Formats: sequence, structure tokens, C-alpha cells
Amino acid sequence: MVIANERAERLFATREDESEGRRRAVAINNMLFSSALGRSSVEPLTPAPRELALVDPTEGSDLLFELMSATAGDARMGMGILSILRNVSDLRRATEEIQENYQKLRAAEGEVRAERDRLDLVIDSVADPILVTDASGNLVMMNTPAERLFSVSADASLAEVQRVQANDANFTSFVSNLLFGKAGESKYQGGINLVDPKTGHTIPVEAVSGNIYGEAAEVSAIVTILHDRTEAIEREQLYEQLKAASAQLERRVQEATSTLVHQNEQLRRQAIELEQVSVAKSQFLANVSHDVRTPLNAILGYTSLLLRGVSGSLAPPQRESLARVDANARHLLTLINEILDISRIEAGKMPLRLSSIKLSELIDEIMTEVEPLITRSKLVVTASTPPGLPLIRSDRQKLKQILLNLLTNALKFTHRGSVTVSCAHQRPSREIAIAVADTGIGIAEADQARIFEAFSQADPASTRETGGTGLGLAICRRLATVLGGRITVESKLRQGSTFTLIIPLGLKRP
Amino acid sequence: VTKRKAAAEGPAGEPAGGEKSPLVLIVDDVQDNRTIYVLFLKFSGFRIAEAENGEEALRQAQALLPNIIVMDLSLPVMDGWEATRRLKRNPRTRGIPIIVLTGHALPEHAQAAREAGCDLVITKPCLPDQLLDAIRRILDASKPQPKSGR
Repeated sequence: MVIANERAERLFATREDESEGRRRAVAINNMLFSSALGRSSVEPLTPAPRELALVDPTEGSDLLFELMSATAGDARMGMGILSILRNVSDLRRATEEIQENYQKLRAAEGEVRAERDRLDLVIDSVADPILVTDASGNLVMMNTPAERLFSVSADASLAEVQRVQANDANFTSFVSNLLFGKAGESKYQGGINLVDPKTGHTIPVEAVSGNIYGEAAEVSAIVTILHDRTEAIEREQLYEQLKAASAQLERRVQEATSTLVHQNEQLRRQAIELEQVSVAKSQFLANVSHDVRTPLNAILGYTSLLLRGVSGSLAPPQRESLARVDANARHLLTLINEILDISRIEAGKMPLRLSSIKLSELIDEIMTEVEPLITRSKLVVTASTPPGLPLIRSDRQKLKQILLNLLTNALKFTHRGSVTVSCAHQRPSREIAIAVADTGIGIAEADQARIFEAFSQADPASTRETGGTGLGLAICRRLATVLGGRITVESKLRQGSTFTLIIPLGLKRP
Repeated sequence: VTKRKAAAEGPAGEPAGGEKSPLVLIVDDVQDNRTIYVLFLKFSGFRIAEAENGEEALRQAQALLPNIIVMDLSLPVMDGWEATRRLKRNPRTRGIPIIVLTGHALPEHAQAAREAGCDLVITKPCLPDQLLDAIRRILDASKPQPKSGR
């Protein structure tokens, strides 16, 4: 170093009294400077400035200089290098800050971009089409699902293009509601019908548009989300159908219920009416029975007086005629009594009088009562009860009436052969079966069900022949029912009949 | 059966020995019924008094004290049930047997008559000799003397 100005001296020269640190800093500076110059001895010196970092000997801080060196020639002094150092430390710091800021900016930009990418991803991943429109109604952005409805590919068919155009028109018209609608409205919602460009199927869509405002509260964009309502509509329709079906069902149930209620009411009324009719009928029959008995009493009474000769003796023909009057009057009486019996049974006015009955005794009693008939009939009549037959608990009078009737019938309708009364204890069912079998005229199968009906005999003419009323079996069957039992018949025409009364061994009070 | 029996007995006159024959009070609102029983019972040797309703029956019974009463149930003014009840309540007439003779054929009617206090219920039609049998049976039972009217 040949010449240095004062500022250069501060960097490159020391005095004896100066500190060790400063001397070392100066030494470093000289070294750095020499090295910089030395490099320029290798490379050709250029007027372009080079950077040179030095140390401030006073402060100890780093300094940055711009070094410009030039070779200067003097004939007297020979060749030398002139170097100018310009302190650019502050400039450098400023540049670095700018750089740093710039990098920060870049990083921020990257973040924004990433953010937007994420947003795009989110928007694209939403299954519903999303469209963003600018303030004048132009589409500025749409997600992938929206693209399927509002954009056409290069190879799209004409139909597809037309469908997309139709969708576009529909959408624009919808968004214009918000754009040109009422001021202050920031949201608009409604249904529009779009078409699937590929298939042409109508897609009912629920659209919701919302304004996005800029810094000056001006509308900067409109975001519209479209929601496919096909499924919802199908569900709604299904729900409506379900509701309708349910309502119909309910209506039917109500109808059925009201019909039932109505029918019940009708039945109740009918039951009351029937009960009233039944009571009235019973009363009527009781009255008729009484009122018919009075003249009948007179007929039978006077006839009896005449036959007894109270009014003088009768000639045989007179006596005979009077006997016919007597017989017919008695028949009439039987009829009246049987009609009364039937109506009493049917009105449920046949009270049970239960007692223990020894069947063998009852049958003996009945046989004794029909003895005159048996004698007249010349039939072989037998009655037997197996030994050890248990006592029966039943209504003795009704049981007797049934058996008497069955036996009398057998005797009436059998002209030759036999009549047999037999009993059997049916242990499993705890029942007693009493059978009256004859070898009489028999009953055709077709007539067997009918004979238990009131006023019905297999052959109506037989009423006159046998003097029956046609009510006997009807009464028997009803009485058997009252006794908790039944009567069955087995018969073959011209071979005979077997009537069997089956009653429970122990009848309990109802 | 009845015919033969009646024919065998034949008409009966006043009982022997001058003893007064039993007095039967016939209560019935139907003339024919009365006629039949009166004719036959007179023919059979009884003395007869008649009444057409329950009230008359009470008067006659009080006045005549008959040996037995034959009472219809359906009667005007006072019915047979009520007349029977009153006769059986009155100490003077309580001992007179009452046969109820009715055209009512239902068990409840007979039951009501029994509850009123009658001694026997016969359902009409009742043949004259059927009534005669009943009267004789009851009179025999209520007169334990060895020497009766028969």
C-alpha cells in the first residue's frame, strides 16, 4: 500500500498504541484486500465493481465494500493499482431485506395457492354441482359435478350441446332472480328442472344462490349450489303413496269398524226385539192355551156328562158318536199341550228339576204306563237294563216324557215283530244311551232329518192313522237338548227304526 | 179307564142315615164350567153352592162354611189367587180345603196358587169325574172318622 487516504488508513493501518483487537482486524483487512487484489492479478482487471467484505477495526462489525481497481502507469514511479472502496454495507442490508420480503411474499403466495387448491379440491369433492357467477351473470367457476351439466366435451353430440344450452338458459334465468330481483336479498332459493346432457333425463334440482360481497359491499360474485332432488322427490312420492295407502287403510278400518258398530247395534236391537217377540210369543201362547182350554173344558165336560148318563141314557149310535167327539177333543187337548211344551222349551221356560234316577225303575214305570198299548199291539216288547248301571242325575219328568214318547211311537209304527228297550253305559264319555228299537215301518233316509222338525211326520197321512200330532219327536229332541243330550235315529224302510237317547250321566245346572 | 170307573159307580143319591152330604162351593166365572161340575157333583150326591168371582166366594164361604171349595184362578172383581190367600188368612175359613182348577198351564201359575195356600192344583180341562176323585180324596183325608159319607 503506497498511498491511502484517511478513511483507508482507518481500515488498513495501525498505530503502536492501538489495541490488539484492532491490530488483528487491520491485519485481516490487509489480508482480505491483498487477496482480492491478488485474484485480480490472475483475472484481468475490470472496471466492474467486486464485493469485498472487511471488518470495521473500531466497531468489530462486518462491512461490505465495493471494490473498483484500476492499473495506473507512471513512467517515474512504475506501475501501480488504484483501488477505490465504497462502503455498501447499508445497501446490502437493504437488498437482503428486500430479498427476504420477496421470499416471504412468495411463500405466502404459495400458501394462498395451496389454500385455493384445497378449496378447489373441496369444491370438486362436493357431489352437488357448484357454480360461481360474476356480478354480470357470467360463469367464472364450476366444480366437476357442475361441469357434467354445464359444459360439453369436444366430441359431444348435438343433442348434448342443446341440452347443456338448455341447462345454461335455465340456470341463467334462475340466477337473474337474485341479480335483478329485490334489492337487499342476499339469498335465493328455488326449484329448477335441468336435463342430464348424456341421457336427456330430467333432473329436478333445488338451487340455492348466495351473494358474495366485495370490499365496498358490492356484489362481487354469486355462488349457486344445485341439489339433485330426484331421490328426494321419489322418497316424497313414496312417502305420499305410503301416506295415501295408510289413509286408505285407516279409512277401510274405520269403515269396517263403523260397519261393525252398526251391525252390533243392529244385532243388539234385533236381540232385544227377538227377546220382546219371544216374551210376547210366550205370553200369547200362554193366553191362547188358557183361552182354548176353557171351551175345551166345556166340550169334554158336557161330553163326559152325556156319556155318564147324567142327562139320561143314550142309544148305542149316540154313544158311539159322542165317543168320537170325546176322542177328538182329547186329541185337540194333546195338541195344545204339546204346542205349549214346544214354546216353553223354545222360550227357555222349561226349568230343570234334577234328581237321582234309577233307570231300571223309570223304565219299569214307563212299561207299566204303556201296558194297555202293548197288550193291544200283540208285539214282543222287552226292556232290559244291564246290572250295575249307575244312578243318573237328570230331570226325571223330562226323561220320562222322552222315553214314553219314543216307546209310544215304536208301538204305533210297528205292526208285527218286536220293540226292544235297552240301555248302555258309555264309560269314556260318561253318558247313558237308551235305545228303543222296533221292527216297524221304518223311515226313508231322506226323511230322517225331517222327523225331528215340528209338525212333520215321514208320511203326513199317518197323523190320522196313528192319532199323533207330529210334535212328539220335535219335543223329544228339544227336551234331550235341555237335558244336555241328543237323540239319534237309525232306520231302514220296512225293516225298522232304532231311536237312541244319549244323555250325560250327571247333568249339571246351567 | 175313567169311563169304565165312572160307569161302574153310577149315579149317587143322598147319603144314607139322613146325614147332610158335603157342601162344595164352586167358584168359576164361566157358566158352562159351573153347570158341568154342578150337574155332575149333584148327580154324585153333593150339595152345591156357586160363586162367580173371588169376592162372592169370600161371602159365600163365610156364610155357608162349605166342606170344600173349587176355585178358578182367572176371575173378575177379585182373582182366585187373592181369594185363596184371604180365605187361608181368615181363622173361620182357614180349615176349608181349596182345590184350584185353572186353565193356566204354566208351572209358575200353579206355583203362585200353591203359595197362596191352596191344597191342590188341577189344570183344565178337568173331567167331572177327575174333579170328583180329587174332592173325595181330600175330604177323606181331612175327615179321619171311620164313618164317612161313603
